[in-house]
Amino acid sequence: MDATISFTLNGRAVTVRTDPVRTLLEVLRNDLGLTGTKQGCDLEGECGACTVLLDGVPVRSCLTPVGKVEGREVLTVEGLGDPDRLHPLQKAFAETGAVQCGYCTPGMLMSSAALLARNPSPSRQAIIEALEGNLCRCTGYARIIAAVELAAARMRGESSPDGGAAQARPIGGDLLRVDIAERVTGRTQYVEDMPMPDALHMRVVRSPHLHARVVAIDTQKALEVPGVLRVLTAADIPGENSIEGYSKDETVLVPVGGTVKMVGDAVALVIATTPEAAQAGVAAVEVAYEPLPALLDPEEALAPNAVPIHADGNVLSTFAVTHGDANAALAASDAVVDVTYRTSYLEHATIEREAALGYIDEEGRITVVSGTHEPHWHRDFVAPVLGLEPSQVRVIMPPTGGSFGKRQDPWLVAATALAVYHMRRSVRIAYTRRESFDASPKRHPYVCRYTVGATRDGTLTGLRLRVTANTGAYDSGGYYIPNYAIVAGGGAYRWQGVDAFAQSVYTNGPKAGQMRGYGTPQSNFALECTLDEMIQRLGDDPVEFRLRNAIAQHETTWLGYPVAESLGYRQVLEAIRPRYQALETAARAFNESERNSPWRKGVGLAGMWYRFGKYGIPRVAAEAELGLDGRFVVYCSAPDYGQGTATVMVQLAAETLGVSRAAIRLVNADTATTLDSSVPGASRATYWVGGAVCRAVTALREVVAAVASEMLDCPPSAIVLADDRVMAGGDARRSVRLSEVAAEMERLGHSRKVTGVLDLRAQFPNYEREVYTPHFVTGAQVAEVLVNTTTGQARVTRVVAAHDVGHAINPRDAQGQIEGAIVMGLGAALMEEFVPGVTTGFSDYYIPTAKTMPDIEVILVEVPSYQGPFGAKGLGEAPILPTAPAIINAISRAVGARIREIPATPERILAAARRGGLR
Amino acid sequence: MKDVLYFAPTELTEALKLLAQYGEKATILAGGTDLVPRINYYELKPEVLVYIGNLGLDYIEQSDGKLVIGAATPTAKIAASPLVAEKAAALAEAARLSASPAIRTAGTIGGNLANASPAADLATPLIALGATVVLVSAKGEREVAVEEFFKGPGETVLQPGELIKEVRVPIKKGKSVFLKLGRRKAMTLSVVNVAVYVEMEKGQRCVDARVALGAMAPVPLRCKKAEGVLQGCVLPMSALEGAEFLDKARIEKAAELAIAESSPIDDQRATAWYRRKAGKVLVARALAAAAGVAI
Repeated sequence: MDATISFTLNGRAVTVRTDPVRTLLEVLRNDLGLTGTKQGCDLEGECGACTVLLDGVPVRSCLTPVGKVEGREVLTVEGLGDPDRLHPLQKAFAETGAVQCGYCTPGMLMSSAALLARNPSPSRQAIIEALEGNLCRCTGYARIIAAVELAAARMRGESSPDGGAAQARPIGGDLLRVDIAERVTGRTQYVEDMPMPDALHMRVVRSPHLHARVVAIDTQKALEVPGVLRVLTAADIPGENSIEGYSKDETVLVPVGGTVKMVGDAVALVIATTPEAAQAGVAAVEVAYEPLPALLDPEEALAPNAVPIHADGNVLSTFAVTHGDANAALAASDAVVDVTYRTSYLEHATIEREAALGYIDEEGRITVVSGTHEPHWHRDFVAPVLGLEPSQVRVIMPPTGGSFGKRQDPWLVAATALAVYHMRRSVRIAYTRRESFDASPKRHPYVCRYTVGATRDGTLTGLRLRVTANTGAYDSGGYYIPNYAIVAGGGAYRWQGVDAFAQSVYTNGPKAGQMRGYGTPQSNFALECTLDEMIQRLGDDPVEFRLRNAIAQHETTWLGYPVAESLGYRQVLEAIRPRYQALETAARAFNESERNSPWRKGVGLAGMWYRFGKYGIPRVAAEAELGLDGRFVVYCSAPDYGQGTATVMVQLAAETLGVSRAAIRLVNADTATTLDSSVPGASRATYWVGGAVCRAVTALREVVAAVASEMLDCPPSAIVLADDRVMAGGDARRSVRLSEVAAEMERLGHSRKVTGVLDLRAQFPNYEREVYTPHFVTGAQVAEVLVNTTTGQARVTRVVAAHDVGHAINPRDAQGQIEGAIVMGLGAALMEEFVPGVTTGFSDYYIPTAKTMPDIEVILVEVPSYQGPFGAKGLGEAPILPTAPAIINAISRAVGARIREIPATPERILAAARRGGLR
Repeated sequence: MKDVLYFAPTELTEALKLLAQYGEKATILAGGTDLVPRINYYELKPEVLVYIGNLGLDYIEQSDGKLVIGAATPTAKIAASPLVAEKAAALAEAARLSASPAIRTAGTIGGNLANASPAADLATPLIALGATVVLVSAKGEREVAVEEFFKGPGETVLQPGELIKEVRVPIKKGKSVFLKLGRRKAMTLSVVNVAVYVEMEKGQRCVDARVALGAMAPVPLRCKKAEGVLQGCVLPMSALEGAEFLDKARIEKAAELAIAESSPIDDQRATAWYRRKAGKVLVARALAAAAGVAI
């Protein structure tokens, strides 16, 4: 029953006629066009992205029936400030690096604005409490809190340095994100925010079963639902019902006669005029299932008589490394630790849910706008599904609210393209949060059995490693997981003998795929905890033990080849040593003085090496152009889902050309306008795509210099570039405008666009080895944890992180990546666990909040790479690796007993404390 | 379209008339933090919604030896009230620790009780403080002790046509304490919560003790056996006469009895084993703090 509701919105009177029970969030976004306010959960108040101010007080707009705002004042992020007049909070968020993907930002800003209106001088604790209900998955919260402090100081009239840094050099100096003013004012349009008034709405019919045969699909009743236009099943797929390039065994839609292998498997697509009709259509599709026995435990799936989930058995892939004689090395050891570690399914939990918008573009291409790690990659998977050539399909990367690997799955792009193919109209889809949890790939749970030997004097001898990775129902990009498990699982250590075997095993759990670190955090967790057990057994020192056993730069490793790129592990350990020692000493003193209290303080150390850049040596291309307006345009595919790659590309181009960032325009990640930069994740954007961008702009500079030198009558070597002009020998009187150079190039028929290719096969001659990568980054972290031995509650109070990042292109963003990874790793260590069939969303999958955040100290150890642009390395994933083992080592040391399964819930900690004899 | 009849009356009598008229078809909307998600999910399709936020039931006053809190008072207001902090410390603390800021600004004390979650944060301090709820309908008013208000998860003694008008908390001389454990620090349901009230005569003899446990039974639970072993006990150094010493052993005995009275379950947040172990620690810690005993 509609009602007329009048209220004040961002200072102006508005009246809407609508159902008063609809949420304020829906009315703001759909009826009033204010899409700055975000939806991250299923309208259940769990994420905080939709926070707005109602009469100055923060409320969840998703929990506010619009009828309640009659006669009241609503303030949204759009009303806080605009790009030309930023609110002090918006300015501070931009300057401190408080924004990565930006999806939580509007809610964070509104909660902060309410706090500062009430309390102009909030303590750090007050800020944390004000933000405790706003989830962020990227930043780790520290910079958001710093931003609120900075804004508060400025609003109190205290002078604070301006972080704009417009005069600074592009690399290392000018750190602002390229599109930051739009992000902090709610103007950035993510997929769900993009207007497309006539778009149809799609929802997915998904399996409620872990394992069942699809006997029949009856779509008749669904088609009778008013508004439902079409129900697509496997029979409607014109090409191949497969996304084989990504997931070798996965269909787009499970056909009649086929089997669903997990809860959330897609069976049909319902397309309707409204989301509600599509949802009703989903409920009306009748699928007859014949349930089959389900396997959730990989050990059971490996049993000889286990039901085969796929035709050729339950093992997806295996990998083994043999180096020296592990058995002999173990037999000759003074001490052997033989232990088994376990990890859980984890969910990326980006604050933006999966969403896509499909349409036919002006050239008739089936076009899908959706978060991805590489649009060309997705285009090439999707075209065969439609029976089309890749050129007939276009994929565009929009502003995206986080990925951490989640958005490598091309299923959503394929399904959306299929709908557009049939409907010849625009179609949108957004997952529910529940659906996102059910249907998206997870981190593989591992069972790792480690047998590690050492001599009395603390030299590592042999390693026997057995890893069973639970890949769930499908490959989903997990084929190489065993390889990654082993490479990380041996670490940057010198072993006399290694016998390592890993396998990826199918179960009926959710498909596991890419997630920050791709198969390495789990085995690194097990390795670094096992080493800590050995260190305690020997009474050794965690830093010295690792230094003693660390491989040297040019040494042939247990993998059979030397690390070709620069390796900074020793430098990292040296850098963290004094902090470890200081925290360890302080913890001893605390435990001594608090002898009679239930509190124990533990300090743990863990290291890591991470082979960034996937495997193989790609040939990466980018383009650079001199526009007719005299601006430089860089074309590449370095999708930015929040980690800051777009900014890095602009920084690298500007630095290479010797101009300011304002002179550069970036065209990024659109298959119709950019080349394939071959960058499906793996922290390779800066090193590889950045390298190609540097080559492209270097080539462009040469072309521009050649033409300009003719115009200025000087040798090309004397040409100096400025933002808008070219000078002969730095003499401003002898110059031409870049726009004039562009016009001259047009007149001469010279191409103004050139290609740069990064191909390092000559530099890395081992490239033909199987699953070879030349470059590793390293790091070490120390965690200080306070544990209550009577309740099992653990609080990580401090993490010190030293990481070799190569030369930091954007030191603030590099630190931001490390901070975010630490807090995500903390979640894995203490609270995160996806339980198939039980976990539904943010209400039962706990991710860290501002209150969980430890104090974080970051030490950037800059060991320049040999081949990366300006010495850069790849960083995004690696810092998550040492966090969980550092925390678990700290807890285990505090309670005097080992925790060998994460998350270390209060229950597991309490049980360990009892084993340790503390209670 | 959700096709709901929506009313936002501005007078209590008007609201009660609507509730009487629509009876079981009517659902009361206050803060909406529990109800609205269920409507959004289509789990619940109420025919009639009566919004009670405009009835003037948002107040905290002191009257007749009682703290009187209107049912539509947001949790945030309770958390920020100096009066509540002074007269009902456990309630203030429970309010401060519940949910998260933008939920506390909307969620109300009446809603927290009417929703009848076994883990409701505000229920245990109200039970420990001996609070009552005033229920009104077109037929009249009745007053029910909070400990008798709950019948099971999601079930209360509220009848169709009835709404919670206010909560009355007797102002007493003793000290109240609230403690809570969850899976993380913020925005978390209680794995276990504990509220206690202890009154010490001359600071030395326990003349009144009340213990309440949350998330440990189908309803928020008052633990009378635990209370019983504390009555009349005196501090070890006291000059007063007492049945037994109120010391660490006695407090641990009380905590053990409290846990024995509970019936926790295993769920995705914790096992019953953990709830018992941690619950016992929490009861002991809360009693020690309220009684001024070092443990």
